[in-house]
Amino acid sequence: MSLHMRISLIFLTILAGLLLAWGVVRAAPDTLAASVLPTPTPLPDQPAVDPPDISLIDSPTASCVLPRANTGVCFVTWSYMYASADPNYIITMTVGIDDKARGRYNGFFQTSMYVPSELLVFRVACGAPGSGGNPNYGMNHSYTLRARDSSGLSAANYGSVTCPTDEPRRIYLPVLSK
Amino acid sequence: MRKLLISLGMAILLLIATFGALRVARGQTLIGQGGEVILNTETQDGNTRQLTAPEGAAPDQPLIGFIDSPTAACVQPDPTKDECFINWYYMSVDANPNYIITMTVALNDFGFVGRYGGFFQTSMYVPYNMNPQGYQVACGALGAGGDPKWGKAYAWAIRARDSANLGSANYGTAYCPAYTP
Repeated sequence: MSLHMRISLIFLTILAGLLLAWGVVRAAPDTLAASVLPTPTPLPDQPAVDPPDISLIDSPTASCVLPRANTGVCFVTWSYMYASADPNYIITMTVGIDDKARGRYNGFFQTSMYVPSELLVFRVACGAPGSGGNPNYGMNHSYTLRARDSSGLSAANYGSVTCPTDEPRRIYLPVLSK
Repeated sequence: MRKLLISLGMAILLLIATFGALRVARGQTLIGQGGEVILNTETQDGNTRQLTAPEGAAPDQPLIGFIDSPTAACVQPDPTKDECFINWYYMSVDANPNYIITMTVALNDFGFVGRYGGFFQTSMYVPYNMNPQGYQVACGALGAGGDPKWGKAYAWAIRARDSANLGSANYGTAYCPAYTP
């Protein structure tokens, strides 16, 4: 068989194949389309959003105490402060009183953080009677507790404490004349 | 004969490459701050913990554990004073069945600030109230430690050593509230 004959035969075979395929598609367009592109099943309902891993901060018993009268010095403290971010790590917890940062607690490869009351003692001014709005008490001090975990989530507690009223005792010295 | 020589040459080259790779791997052994071999190290968000052994005496399985030192605190009890206090909730390490010889606390600005000696004990636990207020440091001005919202930052190291001369160390940084008179 000559080379020209062979090339012609190959060309003819390809052409016949293409024609056959086109004929099949034309003859059964619906069934083919149905089998190739079946009706999609309805999408499932959107799953509920997973709750964040970090917990609310547990900071019970926000207190303001006056250990010594006539000093004007009160102390803000809590029973404890606790947050969990399991399985993420807790990076920091912070304490701010009256918009001033007063304490920072850094996590060290820990998924939860517990800060005992002894590490949560912050000196504040007690204030004059009624300085916080209540005539029986002293000043109000606002506080913010924040926690942040290794996945970038954070939690915060906002509140205020009312202190007992107290002011430093004034000692009046006698006026001595020459 | 020629094919045999080529095969032999290839085998020799492969052998040399394998030995070379082994030497490189041996040379990559981590060396700690005290010139010791680091057996295990973990780093996370600026904190690092390590287990070390003297060079040439590294066991397959170190018996001393990582030091547990959660909640590195820096608090400013009195905002009218440039006084902050650094403390930890607790420091704990276990070297069972070996004895714990010492555990030390160092603040980079001051050097060693605490040393706790073991006494025939295989573990050691130091609670926060063993340091009544913590370690007193200066709070510093706003941004003094690099964070514009906070004061000075203190790098710290807690190290423990056991009777087999294995070591464990934690490294971190405590950021303090700023002193803003």
